[in-house]
Amino acid sequence: MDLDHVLLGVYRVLLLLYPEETRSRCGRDMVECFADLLAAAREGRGTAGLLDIAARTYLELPASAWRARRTRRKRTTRRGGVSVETFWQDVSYGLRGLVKSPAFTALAVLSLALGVGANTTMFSMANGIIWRRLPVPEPDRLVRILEVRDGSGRISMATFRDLTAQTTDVFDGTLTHVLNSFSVASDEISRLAHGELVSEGYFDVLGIEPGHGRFFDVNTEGTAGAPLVVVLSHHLWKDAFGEDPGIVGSVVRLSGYPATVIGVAPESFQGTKYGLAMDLWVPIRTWATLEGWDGFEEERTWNNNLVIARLAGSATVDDANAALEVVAARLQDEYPLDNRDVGYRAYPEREGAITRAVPILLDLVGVVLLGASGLVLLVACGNVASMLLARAASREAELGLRRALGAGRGRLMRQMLTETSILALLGSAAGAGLSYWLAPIRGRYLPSLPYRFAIDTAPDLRVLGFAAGAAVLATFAAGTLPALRGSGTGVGSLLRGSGTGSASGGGGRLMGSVVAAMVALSFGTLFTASTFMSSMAEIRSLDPGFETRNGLLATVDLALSGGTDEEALPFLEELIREVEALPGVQSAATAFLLPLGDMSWISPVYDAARAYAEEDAAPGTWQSIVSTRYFRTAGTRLVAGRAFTRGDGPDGSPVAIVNQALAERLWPGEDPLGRRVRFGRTDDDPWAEVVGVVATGRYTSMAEGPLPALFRPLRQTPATRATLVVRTAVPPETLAAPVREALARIDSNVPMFDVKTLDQHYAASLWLFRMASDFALALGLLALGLATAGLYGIVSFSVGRRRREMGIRLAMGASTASLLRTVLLRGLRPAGIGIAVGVGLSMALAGALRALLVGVEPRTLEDASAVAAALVVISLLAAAGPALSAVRTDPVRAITTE
Amino acid sequence: MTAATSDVDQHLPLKPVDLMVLLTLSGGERHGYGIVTDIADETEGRIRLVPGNLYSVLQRLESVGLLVETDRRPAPDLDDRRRRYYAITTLGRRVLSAEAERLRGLVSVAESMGLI
Repeated sequence: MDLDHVLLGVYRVLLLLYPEETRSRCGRDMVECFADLLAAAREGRGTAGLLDIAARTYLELPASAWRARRTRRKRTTRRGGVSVETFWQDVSYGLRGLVKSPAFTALAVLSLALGVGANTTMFSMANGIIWRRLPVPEPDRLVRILEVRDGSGRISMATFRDLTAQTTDVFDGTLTHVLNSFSVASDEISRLAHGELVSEGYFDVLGIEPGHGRFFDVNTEGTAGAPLVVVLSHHLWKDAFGEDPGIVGSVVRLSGYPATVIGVAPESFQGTKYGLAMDLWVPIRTWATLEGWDGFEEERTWNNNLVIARLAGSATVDDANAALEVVAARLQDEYPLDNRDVGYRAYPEREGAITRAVPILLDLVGVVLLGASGLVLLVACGNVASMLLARAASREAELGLRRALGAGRGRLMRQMLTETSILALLGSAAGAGLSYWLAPIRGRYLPSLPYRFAIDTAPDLRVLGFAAGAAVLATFAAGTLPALRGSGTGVGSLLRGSGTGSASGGGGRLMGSVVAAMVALSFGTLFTASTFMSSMAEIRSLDPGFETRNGLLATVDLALSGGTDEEALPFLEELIREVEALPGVQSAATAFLLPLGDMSWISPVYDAARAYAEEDAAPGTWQSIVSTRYFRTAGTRLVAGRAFTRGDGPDGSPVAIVNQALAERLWPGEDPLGRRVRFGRTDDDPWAEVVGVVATGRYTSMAEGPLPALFRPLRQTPATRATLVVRTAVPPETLAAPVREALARIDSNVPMFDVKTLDQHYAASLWLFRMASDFALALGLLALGLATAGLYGIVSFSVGRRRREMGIRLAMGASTASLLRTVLLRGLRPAGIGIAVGVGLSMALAGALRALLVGVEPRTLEDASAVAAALVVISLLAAAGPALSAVRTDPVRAITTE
Repeated sequence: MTAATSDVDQHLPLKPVDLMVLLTLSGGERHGYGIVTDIADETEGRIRLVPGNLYSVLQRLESVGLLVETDRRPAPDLDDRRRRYYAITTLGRRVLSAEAERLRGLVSVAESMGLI
């Protein structure tokens, strides 16, 4: 459902505020007019325009609806519809009350807007990651079919064809997709592209129309020997071909092979790979050309395909699973070897995609940030609740009078809750708007990666629903206590005199507990924030194991242009020579994988001198393949032995360099130099002799424990993929273009990608921590601000109500100091209780945080005491103003003013 | 003072929005959205109506007889049958002229004082 429809739907509901007469007369015209305005706004200024016109229309609506009702009441006699009429009276009474105290209204709305805004922001991120559907017609009818034997869920091409042929009664169509990297070149420059190898019916099953040209032809493009064709994404078309309208029919070089562009996908479609935006699509047959092997179609162990199917007619996911069970049994009979114990299961599309998604994102967004923002919303509600309590207390006289005149308690409660719900609605609307306005900030935190994220965090119906739900929650969380208390005001308080009774009565105690709860909750939020921040500072102070300044990185992969491992070695050595000859370059080297990159290779490494039994474990070791001079270029410290030399070639004996952590694990307390490691459990597995030891760095994450690592020389284990590391004497970014040109001089068909400085590489590895720490800080400050405002409110309120008592005390000779002490203590008591509860809460939170921050020890005690100190100071400041004004009370005026 | 003049006078001065709506309609019949866009164009976006206040203005002006809903439609191909069209009444035109006259008077006072 798109935004226009949502906005229009909301408008239709809001129209109910108008009297029946207006609705039947102009209702339809008003909806038409609003629809036209939306269409024109979208045309003119896009989504921002839409939201602008919607906001103005919604905000104006209560006023004109009220006018319409007032006019109607004047014209006609009152009749029927008592409850609607009462509701309307409550709304108009509430609105007038709020308009009369603009400062109160503004503060309450602002509090709620901040609380709801923070939550809506976090929620729309979670929404984009967890619930958003593929942008195709009827996404709810799509299912993912996963194999349920090993973890990957992937199946072979042959099985895919069997599944397709045997499930036609439950599926309208099935498609398969395999993720792959390509190089795309139109002229001199080739670039890295991520694409999907897909079955020819891919786009038909999804129900997508091409943006330009056409999609694959099931009859011709699936056959062996057909010429290569490719469909480009809108993004690649725009980025690499400048939206060239003549692109359809032209020929590009795809991983070194000529391929005809037959179409461009619509802008909204970025592929079916969860969270990643695809650049292109090719028929799965293309694999045969790229790999020079067409056996993959028959090979039942080539388990690389992910499968999506569209449910037929009225078929359900259960029907699909029943059908899949039959197919699985049949295939087990037919292929007892390959299909032993293999089953297939259909999941609703998004659920199926999530089962294999990055768990840390979910943990982080789900647990910490949603939790912390939930706390902030509660603090905001507490703030509004204490303001409402104060307001109810100062309206005691009015409420008492209304009860005396016969208003029931229920009637008063309903009216007060209506007032709160108006506040909550306004606050939620403002909060949702705030969150939309803040949207670009979220994008700032995504790291620079060689692929594009496809996570859409724009607000949709679910986000708006969430904001509305937050409004309802806020109404009851903030309004229930004040309404209960206010509506209970008896005739007695009217008789006792105007609302200047003792604040230490029930109302004062209630406000005290609300404030204590707020302080405790903001303690929790601040503690989370400060734990994140101190951990972040600690992480930054750790040695990553390489020198981050004055380094340039660029990645190449010879395989993308059809090169082999054997061709890689001379190619990479020539590249290093060319780059080292560039002015401003001190040294250059290559590494198969770089520490803290987004890919890791971890496998066990064994001590060759030991016999390992089946159950013996060997340390899981991070590994890379590096050229000579890598350690010097990267700035990694060699602590013993030597670095790789040109002598460590294919003819020399195999060598390796280990880090201190691996040496310590395999040979604790002994000299590792000269010992042998083995890359498998048995004597037949390849081995290498340790010739050097480097300092232990950080390899998969800055927040990891000491991880064993091992490096092998490029000349003994060539690989097509390599990251070029360049140590520079000049600002590294100035060398990006010369390095690219150096590569083009050797081979212009090899794409160079992920070009960045070492500083950027290091910063990217910290983005999750940085984002979590910044967000937590923002939430913590929000909670602190709200709690301060609440505290200030309650102290000044209670001082105001006791002005007369203070006047009398002063007149009786009480000293200013003792009065100040009394007022301050009374204000600080709830804060003190809140802090005490907050300490307990934080100890409980600390355990959860420790689980998230592996490798750094949260300084729980320091953080908790820092937060406690900050809250004490802030509480003092919040109470000091009103307390000082109290002791400056002129006794005579205080006593006589009534 | 004749009865007719007092009819006109009781509507004066016009609210700026009423004035703009009547001015727009004096150029021919419009439907709601047409009125909104015309006014936005003529005031360079300074007066931007939304359905709520537009229709309350229309209803008010209709109830005092300055405009009517109309059955006549513009050329068939421009027509959109679902919509309600509005036209200015004779009284509406007289009020509009009187208001313009009143404004001219004000402007000439301002001119004579050297303000513009």
